[in-house]
Amino acid sequence: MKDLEIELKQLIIDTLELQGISPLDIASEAPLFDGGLGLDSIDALELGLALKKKYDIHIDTDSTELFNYFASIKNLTRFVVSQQQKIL
Amino acid sequence: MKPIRTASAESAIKETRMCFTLQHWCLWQSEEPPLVDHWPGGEVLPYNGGSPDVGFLPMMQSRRLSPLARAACAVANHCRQKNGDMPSVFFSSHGESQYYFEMLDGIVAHEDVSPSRFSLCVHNAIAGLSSFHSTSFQPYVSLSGGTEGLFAAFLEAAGMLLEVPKVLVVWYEQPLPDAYRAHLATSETTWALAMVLTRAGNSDQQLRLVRRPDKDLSTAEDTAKSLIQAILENRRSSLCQLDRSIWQWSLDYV
Repeated sequence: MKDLEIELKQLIIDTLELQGISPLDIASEAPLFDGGLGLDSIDALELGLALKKKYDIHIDTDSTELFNYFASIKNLTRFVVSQQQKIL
Repeated sequence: MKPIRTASAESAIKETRMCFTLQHWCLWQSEEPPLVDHWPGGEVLPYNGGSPDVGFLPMMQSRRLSPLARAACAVANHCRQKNGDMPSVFFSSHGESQYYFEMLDGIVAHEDVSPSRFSLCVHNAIAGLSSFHSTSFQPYVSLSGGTEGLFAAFLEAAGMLLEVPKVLVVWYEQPLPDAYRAHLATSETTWALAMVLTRAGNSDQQLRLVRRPDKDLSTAEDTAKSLIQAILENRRSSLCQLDRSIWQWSLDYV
């Protein structure tokens, strides 16, 4: 899980062009949106696309849990693991 | 700044004349500027290794700026810092052509479109970002192409100046993707020029523009190249040939 957390942090940094930020600067429990890292709605769409490309995860945009999945790195990691288990 | 139309009964040629006070200007281009005198009353921003300095923006705002957007936002910000906030006219013939061509290539290859790239390809995106960065509540318009080229922006500015005391005109271009080059004139560099215009007066620099609906003037120059070169070489007048007209401009230092 820790490795996946770091991988997701790096994915966010690369995809969203967060210059000068390293995975160490992103706390796993900190909010990604609404304060915290300060990402916005376009970032959420971009991140969804990056997850699809890297992990073949298709996100159900009607899901009521969507905000929860993207709330923090920890939540996102759990979400990616659960989706990968579905694929397997 | 009053547009005046005069018609000759003999040739039915209509001339349009405009005059502005050029209160301030700012230019950046992606090559080292020549070490010669440039126009007075403005500044050429440092080449800065081929990328204009946008250190006035927090990283979360600057991170998405393309090279073209960085150039336009840098010169616009410089003029706003020196002259205060004002309504603006943003003009570019082809805007974010590199981004939208890459996106079209991706669509052909059945790739997903990047949402942020898509949002930044919209022609008024750069004007919107610049307004947002400046926390401006002033109106702006974003123009492209058309048969009058940049001079459409001056016409728009003349209209705005009937109601407000000063207008920011920002003009920005970059090299077109190779696929377009056989069909359209293109800039060889990325550059942006911002001009603060006020109504014509008896002081400072008067920028005079005359439009004639003529064609095929062999001595006329490419608009962009002509104006940018003129600024950098301190040349004060030129003729520009467009699809349906010839524009003559001159800068008179009163």
